[in-house]
Amino acid sequence: MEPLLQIREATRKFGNVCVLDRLTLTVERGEIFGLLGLNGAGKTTLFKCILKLIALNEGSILYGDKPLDLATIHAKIGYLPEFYLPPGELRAGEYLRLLGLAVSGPRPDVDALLQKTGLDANKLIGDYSRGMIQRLGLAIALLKAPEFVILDEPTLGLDPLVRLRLLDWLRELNSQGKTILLSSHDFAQVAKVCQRIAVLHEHQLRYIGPLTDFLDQHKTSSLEEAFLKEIGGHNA
Amino acid sequence: MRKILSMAAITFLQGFRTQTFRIVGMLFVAIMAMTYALRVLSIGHKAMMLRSFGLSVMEISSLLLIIFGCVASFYRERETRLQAIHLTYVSSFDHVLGRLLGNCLLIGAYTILATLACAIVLWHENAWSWVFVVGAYSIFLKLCIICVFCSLFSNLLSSSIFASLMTVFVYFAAEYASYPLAMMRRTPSVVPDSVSKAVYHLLPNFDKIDLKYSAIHGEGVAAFLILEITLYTLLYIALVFIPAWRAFARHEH
Repeated sequence: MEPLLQIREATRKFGNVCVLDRLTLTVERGEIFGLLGLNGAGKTTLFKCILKLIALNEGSILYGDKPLDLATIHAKIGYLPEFYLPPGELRAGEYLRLLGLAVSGPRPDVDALLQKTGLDANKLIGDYSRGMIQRLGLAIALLKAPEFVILDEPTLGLDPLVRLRLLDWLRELNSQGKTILLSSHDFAQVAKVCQRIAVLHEHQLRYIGPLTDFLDQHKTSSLEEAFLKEIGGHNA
Repeated sequence: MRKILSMAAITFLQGFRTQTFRIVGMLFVAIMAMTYALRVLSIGHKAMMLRSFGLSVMEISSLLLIIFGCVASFYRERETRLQAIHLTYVSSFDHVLGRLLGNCLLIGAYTILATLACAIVLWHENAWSWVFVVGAYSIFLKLCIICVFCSLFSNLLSSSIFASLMTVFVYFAAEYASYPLAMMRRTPSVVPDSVSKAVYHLLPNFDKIDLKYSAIHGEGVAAFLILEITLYTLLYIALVFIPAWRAFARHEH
């Protein structure tokens, strides 16, 4: 496998608090990579550092074999943030079309994307349910046809059926060649779609590697149990 | 350019459809209706009174739109992670400029609608003068400057209340900056003349941009003056935009 995103010795501090401590990890091209960690472990901060929404204090991030720059982010990386709330006054279709104007290169096929997500283009976003907003968020992340997609808690607040559909969609996107980096507290879902995982605990990387190896290492078939053992919380 | 237009269009549509826009519009209509009802009190000056109130209400309600609409939308966007999404599409420069353009378009649309509403009243009362449009345009220019200050304070300050207060402060300081200067010419002051002048020139010179007086009295305005105040406004916006953009770029999202 060829490395797509390489994070080297990434360190980020907020005042005296070190949120990312010399983190090194690689996401391979064409895989679904899961980032696991408790609340406040530094997952969202890491995503924001990748997207240059937050600057690193130390370390570097490479995309392919070049340092990751803003032009690459704008052209090649899609992002769905946690607790994302799009403008409720706009209709889904017009919001996607307007954002599509900001895409460099060929104009995106908004209609196809709306059809795929099953969203009503003429409905105000303010009238959407949580699941529909997540689908819209994913549509926005995919609008520029990115080769790399970052999803921060994509299944948060979704009912089981919508969650299942979303995961099917992620598999489909992956089969089309897209690389996906996602964070989730939903271990069962992560176990279903991710090939490799990383465990972030207390701002440090505790494990990185294939999901199956992680389960074997902790002699369990449950990712949640393995995770708790890894962070020493299985007795809690 | 496409990226800037994209941000501007999103900001404009969002602002145009908010409840704030409707509430400010209704406030404008209510005050205009009251002005219309009270026109009989201004014997002999009815036309001037209607034009004066029309422009003043337009200006104050637009200011409310900036404070409660534009400032609030900036902070809402920050909280809802919208900025994070937008910044993965456009650069910080495109984002700040697009939002500023969108807010100016919003104020422009509001000014046009308010001018149309005033035109109906003024026409009905035989008080209409085309200079009224020039007066409305000068208000639009003043409020565009306030929009760029709103952008600056929203990017600099973490509190939306402070950003709103600072925006209002700049508006009133700019509106009345010429009065102390005029008073100092007649009465000696403890503040050195050079300091007063520097403060006056640093603030936007609303006394020079504002053409309300001509519009109220139905006096013609030279095309060159309109061009001059437009260029002054554009230059002033460009100067304030730079720190606003740098403040946004330094802010971590």
